[in-house]
Formats: sequence, C-alpha cells, structure tokens
Amino acid sequence: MPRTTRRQALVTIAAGLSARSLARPQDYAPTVLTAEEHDILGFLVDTILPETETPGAREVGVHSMIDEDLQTDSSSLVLLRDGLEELREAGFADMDSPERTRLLTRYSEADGTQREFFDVVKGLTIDAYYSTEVGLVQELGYQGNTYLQEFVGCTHDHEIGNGA
Amino acid sequence: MANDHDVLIVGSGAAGGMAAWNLTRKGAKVLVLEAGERFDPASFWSHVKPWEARERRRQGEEPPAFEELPLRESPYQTLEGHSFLLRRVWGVGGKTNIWGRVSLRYGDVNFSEPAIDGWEIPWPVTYDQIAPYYDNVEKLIGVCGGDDDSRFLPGSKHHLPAPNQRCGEVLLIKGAEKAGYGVVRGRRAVLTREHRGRAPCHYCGACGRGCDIGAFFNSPDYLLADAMATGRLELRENSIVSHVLCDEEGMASGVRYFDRLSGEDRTVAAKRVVMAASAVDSTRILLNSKSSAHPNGIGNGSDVIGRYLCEQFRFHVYAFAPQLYGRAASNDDGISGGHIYIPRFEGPEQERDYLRGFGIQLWGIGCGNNAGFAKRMEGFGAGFKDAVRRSYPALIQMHPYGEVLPYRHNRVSVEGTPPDRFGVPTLRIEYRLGENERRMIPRMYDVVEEILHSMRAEPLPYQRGELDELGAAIHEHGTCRMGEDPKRSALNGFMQMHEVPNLFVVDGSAFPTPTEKNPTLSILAFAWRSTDFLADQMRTGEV
Repeated sequence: MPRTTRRQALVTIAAGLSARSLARPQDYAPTVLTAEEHDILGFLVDTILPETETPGAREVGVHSMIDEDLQTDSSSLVLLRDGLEELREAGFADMDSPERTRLLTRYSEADGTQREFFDVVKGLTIDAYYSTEVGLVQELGYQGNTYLQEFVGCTHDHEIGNGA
Repeated sequence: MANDHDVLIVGSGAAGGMAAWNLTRKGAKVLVLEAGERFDPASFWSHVKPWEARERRRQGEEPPAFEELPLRESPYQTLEGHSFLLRRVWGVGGKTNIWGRVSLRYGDVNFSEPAIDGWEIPWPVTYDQIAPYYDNVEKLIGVCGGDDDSRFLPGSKHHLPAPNQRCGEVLLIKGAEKAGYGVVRGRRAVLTREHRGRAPCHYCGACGRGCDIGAFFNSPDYLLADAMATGRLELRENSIVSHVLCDEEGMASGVRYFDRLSGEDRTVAAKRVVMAASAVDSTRILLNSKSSAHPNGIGNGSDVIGRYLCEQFRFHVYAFAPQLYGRAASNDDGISGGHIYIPRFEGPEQERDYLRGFGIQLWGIGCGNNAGFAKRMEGFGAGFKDAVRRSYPALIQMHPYGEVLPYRHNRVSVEGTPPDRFGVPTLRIEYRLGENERRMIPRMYDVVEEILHSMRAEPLPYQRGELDELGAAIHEHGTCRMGEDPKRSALNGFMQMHEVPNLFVVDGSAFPTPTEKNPTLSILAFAWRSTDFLADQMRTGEV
C-alpha cells in the first residue's frame, strides 16, 4: 500500500469533508458563472491563497463555493463578470504562476475597478477558504465550537514590554 | 372568545417576559400576544461548524431565521442618505434568543446627569430606587462578573464567577492600565456555574446562534416557562398586534391584532394593556392607535411618542498584539464575546467638550471561526497566507459605544408610509447624529489609539471618524419616554401612561436616554418595578 503524504491526506480531507457533495471539486458544474469564468476564477483564487503546507483555494473548491454563493447573493456578480472577462482577454488561464502574480500585483496596486475587483475576490476567497475544514482547522489551527468543562484562558506570562 | 385575563401583554422578549413572569407570580391572569412563533432550541445550529453549515445548506437545511419575520411582515423606511439598521426578532423571547448578554447596571451618573446638563428631560427614577431591582434580576437570571465597581459602573453582590481571560485580553488590560484606563471583568448574563438548577455554559462560543441548553438568560427559558407553570399565562403566537383600542373615556380597552397564519382580523378586550414589543414596534403600534379620544395616537397628547429616538453609535478597530504572533492557535471561545470591558471613565476636564460619554467593548479577541480580519491585510499569495496564519491568534478588537443625546427630530413615524399586508401603516425612521456626538468621536478614537499604542499593538487599516451604521448597536430608546412632566413625557416613572392609566409601556422605548451601556439588564429591572406597581394598583383597584 503506497504511503500517504501529509499533503495527500489533507487533500483527501478537503474532498471528503469540506466539500462532501463536491466529491471531486474539479468536477463541480457552475450554476451562475460560465464554465470558463469558473475556471479562470479557480486560477485567481489559487493565486490569492495558493498551495503551501496546506492545499490552495482552488483545490478545496473556493471558486465553486463562490459560484454557489452567487445563487443567493449576486451583488458582486457584474463586477466579477467584468473582471473575469478582462482576465480572459489577458490570457490569465495560460499564464504561469509568476506571471499571474505580477498581473494581480498590478491589480492590487491599481485605482478604480481593477482594485475593486481584486478586493472583492480577495474578500470572497478569504471568507470561503477559511470556512472550510482545511482553511480553518488545518491551516489556522481552529479548535473552537466544542464542549469544554472549563475555560482555562491564558496561562502564559505575557508582558507588553518585550514584544516577543 | 371569553376574556377573563387581568392583563394583556404585547410581546414576549425581555420586557414582556418579565411582565408576564412577575404578574403571574403575583396571581394575575395574563394573556401574551406574540407576533412570531417559538424557536425550537433543538433546531439551533449551536454546534454546526462553518464547513458543516455549508454542507447542510447544500442539503436544503437552514437554521432558524431569527430576524427575517419583521422585515417581511413589517418593513421600515429610512430617509435618503440617513440609513438606520433596525434589527428585530419576532418570535417567542424576541431578541433574548440571540442577544449579546452584556449586563451592565446604569449608574447614578447615568440617571442624574440629564437633570444636571439639561438634555433633554430628567430621569424620573434614581439609582437607589432601581438598585434593589438590579439585585433581584441578577439573582434571578445569573450574571457573571467581577467586583470592580466604579462611579460609572455600580456593582453587584450577586455575580457568578467571571470567566478566565484570553491572551489578547491579558495584554489589553496591561496596555489600557498603563495608558491610565481601568478595565473590568465583563458582566454578562451567562451561567459560569450551575444556577437555580440550570446547567452552566460549556464554552462552545456559538451564543449568537441561540443556546441549545439555555445557559444564558433568555425569556422563554428563564421567565415564560415559570409563568406558564403557574397556569395563569396564555401565550398566543402568530398574533401581530396593530392597535391598542380605547373606550369613550380614552382608557385602553383591548387590542386589535391579525392572525399571521390565517390573516384573520381579531380584537381582544383587556382591562389593562402592557406594551413590550421592543422600542420601535411598541411605538409604531401606539402611533397607529388613533381615535377621537387620542387623535395623535394613544397617550400622545404631548406629541412626544415617536420622537427622541436615541441609540448609541459605535465603531470597530482591529489590531494585532505582536506578542502573540505565530503562537499555536488556542480555543478562545470562552463565553463568546468579551470577558473584559472598559467602562466610562473620568477624563481631564479640558478634554471634555461634549456631554455624557462612552465605554469600550472588547469582543472578538483571539482565535475565531473565520479570518475576516485578513481582508484588511495587504497582499496575497503564499506570504500573505502565512501572515494570516501567524496573525490569527494575535487578533484584538476594540468597539467603543457612545451615548447619543435625545433629539426631537430623531423619530419613528407612521404618516404616509406604505401599509403592511393587513393595511396597517409601517414605519419610517429618521435618525442622525448631532454636534455632541461629532465632538465625542475624536476623543473615542484618541483613547483607542492610546491603548493600542500603549500595548504596542499593530492596528489594521482604519479611517479615523468612521462609524458603524447607525442602529447597529440595537439599543433603541426614547420614543415613549418616561418623566415627571406630562407635557414632555408619555409615561410616569412606573412606565404608566400619563394620559391612559391602564396602559403601561415597559420596553426600552420608555428610557429617556440610552446611556453608553447595553440596556437589557435595565429593561428587566424596570419592567419588574413597573409590574410590581401595576400589581399594587390592581390590588387597590386603582387600575
């Protein structure tokens, strides 16, 4: 039996727990965005929160979660569509990772709609990614919302002076 | 339907629940009309994790929609450019199902300063008069806290143990004290040990979704259940009260309401009516209750009902305590919300060019169930993701709440508004801040910055002067205020209408000022005192 790496294990958790009905996130069929928009969004969210020790945003299906949420809240849809169209024209899907980063850096430093588009997608990505078990538990170490006999609180000897 | 009730109560939240509890206890037969339905604690998503919530929604499940009903049945308008967020819960227990549980006594300063500074009318009740009721309420519902009292925050001998502090709170206390600001244990209506047979909090941190075991005060578990057990309470759900009816002399004679499910238009007679539908909705009903005896709305010959709406204003500053960067995440849920509080304080005289003051709430400290703070951090990519993880345990937040003076132009009204589906006029809310608040805001930012600087915190970007949406504190007051002078107030100090002695209004609308504090503890104390008075009046045959 092949050994399971930590990363593979986390991906399995991502597929199995975070997105149970999306047994394989890559198979998700978008309902609001077009397939092409959904693909580009996948590369975009993965540029914002890429794979590190833990899976990236695309792998846990953040772009699909955004599409899913657009069904009930479409307030950002026009902005998203226009921005994704601009990325399509720029060939975002075919860029390599450094190229994507360079382009997104320009967006994040721009004024007007490019910056607005970046901020909106970043916000949606953060909300979705850190609501998954991978993002919240594996990445951040969240342990909350459980039954405790007592709340121990801070047990350290914190001082404001040493800054360490 | 035969009616043999002694008292009819409109609403079942903190005020209505207390009125029903106290009156049934004293032998009165009570009918409570509630616009919504009972929320089933078994349906609360108290222990549903964020990723499980998404999965449940995919399966078509939803948690109780606490705030949906009033927006659907009775929407409200605001003036162009002056938004006001009105958050209401229609349903048994009202907002106590999901409230913030902060339980701070108003102090002698809060009660006496309107008479001293002349803005706008004096409170008709002193701290000494209400203090025994604060004692009673705290003993009844269970409030955790410390014994760290001050002139601005009188204390209690009845506090349950205060919860331990999170790391960020320990650092905030040190920083605030170094900067010269006192920090107290939070006072919250959460059971930190078993209290009157109720199980204590298990620190799951999900109070805002409703507590499945009732470990924080809520009207259904703590008041209505006891009232029901007396056999003298009838609770009628789905009853949307539209009008208080009156007889030819102008005395209250009953109410008109609509059955929310059948749409049926009904009236029920009553010897005494107690309004407890929350500040804004009670006021709406009173203003809609026009008759030849009360052409301006029942009890409103003085034209004060609907006016002097006062809430608090607040803002939020987020920062990181660098001492906590990169630490292992911990379970920081505690009793959910702040375990500490910075009460109003004495400032150097020259710095006070405004009346009243503010306190600072400190919730959202430490590891939470989201990373919303990261939206304010610069950048993206692997480095950003790493920075988010390192910052996550270091998050601190400060939330100052400032008192808003009562202004005549801040009001709720029903003139020319669209009707609801039963033909009853809905609300319009007009609300804006004045000069006094504009002077307080810079001082609030100064204090926040002093404390952050003192603890070496690194703030996330914010704009000085920025405020949360008005109304967001959910502490509406003033629109049916009590006072000694019948020309300037609608109720006397026992919350009895000057013009209609068998009509009482026991919710937050009766408070002439909002103070800088959260009102539920005070609403409970005043409703208890008012219904003690009503029961006495009934016994002597006065009403």
